[in-house]
Amino acid sequence: MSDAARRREILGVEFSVENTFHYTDKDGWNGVRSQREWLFKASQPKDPNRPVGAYFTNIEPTRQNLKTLYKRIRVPKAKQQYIFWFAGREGLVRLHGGRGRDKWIYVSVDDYRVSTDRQRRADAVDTVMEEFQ
Amino acid sequence: MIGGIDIQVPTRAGESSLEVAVRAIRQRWPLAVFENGITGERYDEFRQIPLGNLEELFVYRDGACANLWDEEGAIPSIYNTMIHIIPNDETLSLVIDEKDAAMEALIQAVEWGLREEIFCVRAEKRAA
Repeated sequence: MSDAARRREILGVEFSVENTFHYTDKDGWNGVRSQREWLFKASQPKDPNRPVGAYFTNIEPTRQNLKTLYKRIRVPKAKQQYIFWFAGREGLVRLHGGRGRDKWIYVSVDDYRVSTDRQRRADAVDTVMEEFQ
Repeated sequence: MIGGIDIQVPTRAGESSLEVAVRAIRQRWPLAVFENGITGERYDEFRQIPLGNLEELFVYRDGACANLWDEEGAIPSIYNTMIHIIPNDETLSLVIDEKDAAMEALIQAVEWGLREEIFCVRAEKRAA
C-alpha cells in the first residue's frame, strides 16, 4: 500500500464518493474556513452568460492537473494556492449540457453550504496534492 | 472561482475542427505557440500538435505570452493573449478573457473557417 493510500485509510477518506473542489487564494480560504459549516458565497462571474453562483470543479489537485488548472478556469495563479475538498455534489449542476469547460465545472445558483460531515480538507494545495499522487 | 468568457462556435468540420480553428488563429498570431490543456505539454510549432488526440488546447499569441501565463495566470496585462479551445461533438468552445475588437475579429475568422464546407471535404487521390 502506498503512503498516500495509507494516509487515506487512516483519514477514513472514501474515494468512491464524488469528490468536489473549490480552489482559492489565501483571503478566500481564510474567509470560508473560519466557519464550522463552510459557506461559499454566490457571485457573478465575468461571463454574463454564466449565472450568479458558487463555482466548483471535479478536477483533482494532482501535480499534472495543477500545471494547467488556473489557466483552464482562467484565474490568476494565486487563486489555486488553497483548496477546499468535500464529498458529494448535492444541489450542484453543470451548465450548457456539460459542453466545453462545463464538463468539469459545477455550480450552485445560491450560496452553498457544506456541512462538517461532508468536509474533507481545507489546506494549502501543495499539502492536499500529496493525497492524490 | 471561474474567469473568462466561453463562446460556442458551431462546426461542420467534425474531427478537423480543432485544426481548422488553430489554422485560423495562426493567420492573426503567426508566432503562436501551443500547450496541451490537460498535461501542460508545450508545442512550439504547429506541426508538433497531436491534433487528433487533444481534449483541450491553449493557443498563445507568442512564446513570451505563454511564459507569462505560466508564471501569473489570468492577469489583466496579458488578457486575450491565450485562447483555450475545447472540441465538442458539434461545437467548438473558445474561452477568452474579454470581447474587444481584435478578439471579435479573430473569433469571426474561426467561425468562418468552421462554417466553410471546403474544410469538410476529404481529399482523395484519383486513379490514373
